[in-house]
Amino acid sequence: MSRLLSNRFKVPSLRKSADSEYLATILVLLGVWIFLIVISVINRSDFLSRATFGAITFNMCIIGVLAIGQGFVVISGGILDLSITVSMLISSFMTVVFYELGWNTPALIIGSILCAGAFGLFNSILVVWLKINPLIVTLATGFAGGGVLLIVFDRKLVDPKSWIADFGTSYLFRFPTAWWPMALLTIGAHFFFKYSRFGRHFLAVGGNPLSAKAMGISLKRMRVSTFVGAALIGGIAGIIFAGFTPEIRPNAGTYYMLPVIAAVVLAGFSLAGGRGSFLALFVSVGFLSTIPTALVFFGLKSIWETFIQGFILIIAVSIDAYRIVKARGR
Amino acid sequence: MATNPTQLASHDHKLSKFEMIKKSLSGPGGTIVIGLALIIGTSAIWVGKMTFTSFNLYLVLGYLAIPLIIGIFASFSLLAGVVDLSIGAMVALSAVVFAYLCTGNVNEWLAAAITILVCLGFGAINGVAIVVFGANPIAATLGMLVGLRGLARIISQMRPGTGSSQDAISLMITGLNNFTEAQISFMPVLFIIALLLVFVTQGIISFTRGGRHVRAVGGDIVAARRAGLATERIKFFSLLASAFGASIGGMLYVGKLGGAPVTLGTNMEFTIYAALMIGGYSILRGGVGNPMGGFLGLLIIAVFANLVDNKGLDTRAADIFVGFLLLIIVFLDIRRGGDAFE
Amino acid sequence: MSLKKSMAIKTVAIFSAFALIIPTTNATAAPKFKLCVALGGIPGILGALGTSGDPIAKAGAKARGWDYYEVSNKLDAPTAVKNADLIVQQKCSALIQFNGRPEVNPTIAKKLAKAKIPVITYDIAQPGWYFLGIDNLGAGKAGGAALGKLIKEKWNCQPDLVLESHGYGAGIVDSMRTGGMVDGLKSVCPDIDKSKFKAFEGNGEIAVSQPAARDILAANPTAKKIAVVGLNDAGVVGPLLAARQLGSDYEAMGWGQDGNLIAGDKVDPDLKGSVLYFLEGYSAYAFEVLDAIAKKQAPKMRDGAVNPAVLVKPCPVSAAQAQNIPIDKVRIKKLAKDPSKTLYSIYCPK
Repeated sequence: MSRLLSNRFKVPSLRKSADSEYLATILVLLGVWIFLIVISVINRSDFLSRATFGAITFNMCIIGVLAIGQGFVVISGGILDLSITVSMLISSFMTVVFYELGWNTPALIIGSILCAGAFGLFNSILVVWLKINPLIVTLATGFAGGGVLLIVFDRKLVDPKSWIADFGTSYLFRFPTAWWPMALLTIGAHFFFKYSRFGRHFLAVGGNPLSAKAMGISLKRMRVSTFVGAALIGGIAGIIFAGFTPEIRPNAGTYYMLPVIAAVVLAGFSLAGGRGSFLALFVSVGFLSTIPTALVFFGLKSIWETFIQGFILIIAVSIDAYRIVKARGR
Repeated sequence: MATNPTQLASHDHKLSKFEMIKKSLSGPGGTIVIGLALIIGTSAIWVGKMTFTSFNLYLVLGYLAIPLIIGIFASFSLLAGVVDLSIGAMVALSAVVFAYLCTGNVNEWLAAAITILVCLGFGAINGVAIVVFGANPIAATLGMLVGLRGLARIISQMRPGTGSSQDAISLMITGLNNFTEAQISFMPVLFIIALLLVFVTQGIISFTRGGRHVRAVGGDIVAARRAGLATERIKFFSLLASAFGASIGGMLYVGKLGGAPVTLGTNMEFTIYAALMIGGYSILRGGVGNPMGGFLGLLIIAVFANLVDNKGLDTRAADIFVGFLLLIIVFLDIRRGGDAFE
Repeated sequence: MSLKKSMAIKTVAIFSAFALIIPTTNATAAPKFKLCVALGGIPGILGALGTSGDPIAKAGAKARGWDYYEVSNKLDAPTAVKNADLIVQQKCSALIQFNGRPEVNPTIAKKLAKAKIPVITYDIAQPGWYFLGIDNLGAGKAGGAALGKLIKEKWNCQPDLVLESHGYGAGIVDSMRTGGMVDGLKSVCPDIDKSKFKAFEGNGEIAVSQPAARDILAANPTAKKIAVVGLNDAGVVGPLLAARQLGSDYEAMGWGQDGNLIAGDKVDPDLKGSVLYFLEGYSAYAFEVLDAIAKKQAPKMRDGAVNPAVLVKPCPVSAAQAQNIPIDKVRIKKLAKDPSKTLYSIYCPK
């Protein structure tokens, strides 16, 4: 934890060396992913089927979008957003509410996402104006938010004849329609953080807030943007969740929180901020989403999934940390 | 939170008695004590005499004891600056392993010893990842959390005889159950033990060299390293301590509940750390907090939950209370000059 | 600083004021009958099994002039055991309870027996507790047989795959319901090959059963005619959705349990039917036993699922029949107005 803090006062590494570092992470993750696919194919040649493709891509949809939201918080130095699933559920519930009110599709989508954004704004107010650490803020609002959702909504049913349900089962260009938000957000985030001025400000604030401030970047503005942005992305995941789950229950967030953080950490995002690649995150989500499907092909029960994911995560963060320590030592 | 008890004490001799009380009340512990007084007062009016019966004390303190034991051991890792998120899952693993062995006709003491060793083993894996390889504690112990939850489930479904149809283990160990339910007059024995543990730990943290070293490592690792402390070893042992506490807690739960639910300790890492933070620890920075404060943090939540329970109010209110109390306490701490975010 | 000082003084003052008030507020009346409910805490279900209180038990108690007290077991074992002590402390005359972590029920039973508090348990049997609920095995078999008939009609008893969406945490209830459905299915179609049955953990929730089912379908890529059975409606709807997600060449049919997702107009098109338990209205049945206990004429102990104190009639419905049945929110409001009826008598199609 002290490493987490002391890192902030180091000058961020030059962008070129960071790029090659990300490339290495991406290649390693890609290698592991391909290795998993290859041994699955050797195990059973029918692993490469349209159904497997469907299973893996559908596994990616929600976790992928949430992971981008979480990655956005991490890379910007917000440590973690432990309430991102609450953003998701707020949006899911509001999607149903707005649909029942008869809103048209664009208004419904924007409305639901904005409701999630409002929750993010609440988080960011606590972070920026009360100066409470984001990890504590989102821990608390995650707790309280779950309780409030349970009292306000209890459960909501999605009409299976609605476009929302269709969206959850349809395909677009051979991929699930619900897969595209993640793909587009990945590309968007990649270019945003790499090439846009505003995006680089997030990286600067995440890597070294003090020098970023000295450069004239408003920390407050960046923090508010971070948490509202993450909640908005969580809101997008919420609409997908409504499409996948005709009965929305407030406790569903618990199934996503840990895999999402795992994906972000596995992708090499530094929890100290300022470091991380959204392309690597995409590969990380893909790899983690392939594990449960592959397990079934190996005849293992799905309960092995969490066990294996957990220990992959420990090994990955250990190797990653060791690599950095060695690189610094050189 | 930011002020430590020894600092407070050194100023006290200059102040009159009234000022002393005032001063301690305006401190971090005081906020909780005032809060506690308010809740107990409300309970006294609203619930009535029942608040102060020995049975109600048993209800509050008897059920507080096990989380308190787990929390006190986990506070070592907080103090050393390495948060251990795997404690809740470790509690479940401990309960399941212990029950698995006991239902398999292993002697209870042997089963307990094996369980502790298993948990220490996983604690050591945490330690290797964090201390030897330098992994981020949140990331590494989160992985451990996920992994151990899965493992508890796997072991639970592996038991012979039940096939894979159930993962619920029902098991009454009479001796252990009697121990967890025992009372000396109105005080639950388990709570007395937990409280002794708080005092002993407080003593270790405040007055022994080892305790100071742990705080030093958590507070400023660079300075601690310069001062020649074995920072790595201290961090490693603090992670073992939290694993040990979780293993004890899990087995005590088996005794108290008469079963080993795989879902045991779900979200416990968050509820316990929220309580410890209310009591003055920080999951973001080592070196702050003390066991007495941690105890008060757990106590105030338990007392509030007891008020909600006794009035038969909507129990969903408790989560919302914990969330807001955490924010308020941390905010007050920042106003007093504690760690502000930027 | 001065603000803090005054606050501290005020607090002390308020606290000492409390101390003065206590003795005056404790004039207790003669003991009334006190009905207590320990809610199940399952999100998405109304009534005694759910999270948000049991209006039926409350209305019934009010009508009889009883005291009423309610806590939630929150699907959490330590909470459920603590609640048992709370019930003792509250000096309850009788307890209605649903505990989703039945492995600790013996411990709870011990505490309540010591305090001589009679217990009515919903759906999960425990020796010494009045069993009120569905015949889980019977309901399972009935649902399985109904699905079997459809499979016989449409697929000539030759489905490619039968998905069993279990909820292992529910223990014996799961084995009876899901296992019962398999038995019922086999009673109509006895020749389905053993290898076609695939059991998995669906946790009784769409968010879990759906991805798990997708993976199993992927591992059986040639299977296109999919039958789904499970512990409850949510556990069955998840796999049905999974099949639709993987492509239009899939044909899936499912039959649920508990009826939580079959009523109303928002029903999964592949959920062909379910067995309505009217979970939210269980407490309407409980008063039969409670009234007897209140008159100090406690009925004979019948604590088994086979030998229940009160048998809740399962109401097997096809999706078409269920269209006219309103959703649980509407049903529970109607019942709360007149708790002397049962939801079965009001809504189950003849």
